[in-house]
Amino acid sequence: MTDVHTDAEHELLIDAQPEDVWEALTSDDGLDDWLGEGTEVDPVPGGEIVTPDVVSDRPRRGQVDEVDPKRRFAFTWWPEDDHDDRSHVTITLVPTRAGTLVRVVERAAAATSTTPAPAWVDWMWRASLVSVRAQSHALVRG
Amino acid sequence: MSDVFAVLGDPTRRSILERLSTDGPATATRLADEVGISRQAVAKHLNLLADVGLAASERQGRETLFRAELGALDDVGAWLDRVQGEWKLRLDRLARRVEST
Repeated sequence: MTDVHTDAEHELLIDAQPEDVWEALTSDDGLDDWLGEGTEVDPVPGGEIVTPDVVSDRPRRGQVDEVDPKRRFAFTWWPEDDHDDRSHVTITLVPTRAGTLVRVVERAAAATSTTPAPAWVDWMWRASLVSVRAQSHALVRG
Repeated sequence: MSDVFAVLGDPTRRSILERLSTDGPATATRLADEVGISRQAVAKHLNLLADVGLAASERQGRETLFRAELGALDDVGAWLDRVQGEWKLRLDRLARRVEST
């Protein structure tokens, strides 16, 4: 069956304990490393986020939604010049015998439905995302 | 594109689009039977999908057949690819920090 979804997902297994990953994820020094120098995050619900986001090279602002230490860090963010382009990011840490699995889901705020979704539709975790566009091309060919 | 996201944000609507993609064109009545909701509810969903170009219809005799138009998903696919790529880079940076301390 073709899957249509709107969540960008990625996950990575890191060879470390959840507390070490959490520290790197949320400490000032850690944030400077993975989001970029000068990143400020007030790590409480409603806390402000300001970051240069070096990976996208587009400075962003945001707001923390949820902080569950060593388990879950969720926030809403947007490019600082386009507040309408908001998305929700949820980062979850899952301990495994081989280390900590870090899962990220980013969903455009525009795609947030108020209808609760059945579990089989929404929580389809995958190791790698199959692009919707690739699926649509496959359908046209097939 | 936020219009397409807004329309795709509803899981029932996604399910209808998936069925049209996988099973081919269908009438609102048949979709209602398969999804288990009223024909009116299905018709509302189909109209919303059509509004953003994800579905199209044609009359066949007395019936109206709806079909998926997946070209409108190209922008969504590009967004997903880009955002996923960005998270790969961010998590790689995170991992480098963790594994070096």
